[in-house]
Amino acid sequence: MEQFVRILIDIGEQGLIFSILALGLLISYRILNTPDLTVDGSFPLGAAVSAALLTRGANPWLALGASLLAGALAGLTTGLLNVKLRITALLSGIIVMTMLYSLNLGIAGTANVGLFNSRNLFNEAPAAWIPARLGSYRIRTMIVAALIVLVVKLLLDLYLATRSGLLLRATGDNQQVTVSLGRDPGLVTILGLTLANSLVSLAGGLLAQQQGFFEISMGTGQMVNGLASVIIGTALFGRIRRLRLTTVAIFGSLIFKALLTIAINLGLSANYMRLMQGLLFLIILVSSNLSDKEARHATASSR
Amino acid sequence: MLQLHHVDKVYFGGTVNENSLFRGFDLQVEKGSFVSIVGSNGSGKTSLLNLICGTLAPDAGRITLEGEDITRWPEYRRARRISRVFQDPALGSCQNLTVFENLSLAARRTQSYNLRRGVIERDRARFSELLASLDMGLEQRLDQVAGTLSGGQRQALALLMTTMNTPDLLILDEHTAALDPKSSQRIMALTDEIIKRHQLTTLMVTHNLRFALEYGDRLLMMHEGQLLRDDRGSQKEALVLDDLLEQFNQISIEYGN
Repeated sequence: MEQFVRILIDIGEQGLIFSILALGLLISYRILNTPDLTVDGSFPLGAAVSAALLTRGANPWLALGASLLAGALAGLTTGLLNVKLRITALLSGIIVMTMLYSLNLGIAGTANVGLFNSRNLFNEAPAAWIPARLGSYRIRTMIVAALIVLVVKLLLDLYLATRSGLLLRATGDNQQVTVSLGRDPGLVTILGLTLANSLVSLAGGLLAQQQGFFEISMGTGQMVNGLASVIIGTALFGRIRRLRLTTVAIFGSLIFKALLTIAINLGLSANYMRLMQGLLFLIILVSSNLSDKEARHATASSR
Repeated sequence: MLQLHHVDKVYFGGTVNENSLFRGFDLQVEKGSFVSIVGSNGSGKTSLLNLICGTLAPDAGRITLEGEDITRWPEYRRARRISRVFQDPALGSCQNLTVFENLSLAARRTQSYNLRRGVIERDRARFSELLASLDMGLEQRLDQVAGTLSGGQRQALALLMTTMNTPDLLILDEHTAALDPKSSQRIMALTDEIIKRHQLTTLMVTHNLRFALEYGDRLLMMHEGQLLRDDRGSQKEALVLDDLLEQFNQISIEYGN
């Protein structure tokens, strides 16, 4: 029972933080239809920026905001490479990701930065405002993470319902429509990638604050991570029309994290984590492709 | 008024495959006129539309709309004043957005895509009415995604989206060619109705000679980047299908089309 609760908290804590990453990929992959590999660099970028600021005693909220801005710059760069220099989205992402590796090292100072003695969102306000009787430190961490995710999700929902958000969705769906509306689809793509990587970087910053350290390789596999979350969410809940896309992505992230946590608790060595992530992603991708095909078959034959 | 002054367009310039399509091409389309363009494959009619819309850039010459030089404007900028309906009904709207969302987007074309609400319930009645005027049963599908519509319905939606802000120029790019005969008739009649209601300046490329004769007040026949015929007003009304068909067959046979 105790172990069960521990697993649940594991899933809750980090699954929630990773769901912000999933929201980023929701924008680039699902809405904008662009495979954006910047993610593997912009996620640790957020962590590096938060780490660098926290070790100098900065306000944790300020650090988080700086993480978000840094991610926006990374996304903006990928977008500019893609749109203005006409490099494919995939390559633009890889280029920026590669350059970010050095940049992240430079920002953080070293490949490993411990933040255990620094102020962060989980050891002072707002976590400290939550009465201790509500639960242990980890429960409070989960509550803080949940609140931040909720705010990000609601803001994103609001944005997607604006004219600008609608144009973003249109651009991912059919660029010709954007052109017909008299708008430059390239600019919309740049905006989308900027927004997506801001969220990814925010997630990275938040994770560094929660786990108490920055580590240079923490970005490896994060794109797969986020994509898998979005695709699981879409496969399981995508047909429920009342659920918003953002809700679907968050659920997907929690389920993906649950699968990984269960695998580890069944005795899988942490060394095989990435292998596991990749295989899980593969299974999800193939099965959602199959169910897509079935769905198309069903609608085609019902006509 | 749309004007093309001495427009040149060469494909594969500087190679052995050099193919000059337009040489000093001139065209003037008066405000409020409805011009049909016919011609065989490779006659340059689609290239002409692409030059006007900005999908293709001319090698020389000028294109002006209402006196303003738009030769160097990118396609999206011209689209604020020139609307285009494509042959493929899927190009005119977003398949994953609802009909309501698609129309909301189109309605804001002349405004800005800012942080105000994208879809306003208040528009529902107005959009419903507009859709009902198409008489294609679309008013009951406001909340369905456009991907679920039939080809004819989707083309009607595209037509509505492109004309709801009264463009300076409407371009119809074989817009009934991908539809079944009945939908094709329906969309053509609808197009004519909308053009008359808003007095839109229109260029229509079509493979359907009957449509070209029946609709519009001017008819161009193109061949190898040149105007073979240019009939207006009573001259156009006097045209009969057989003459047109004969001439059309002649050029087609000559050039193995």
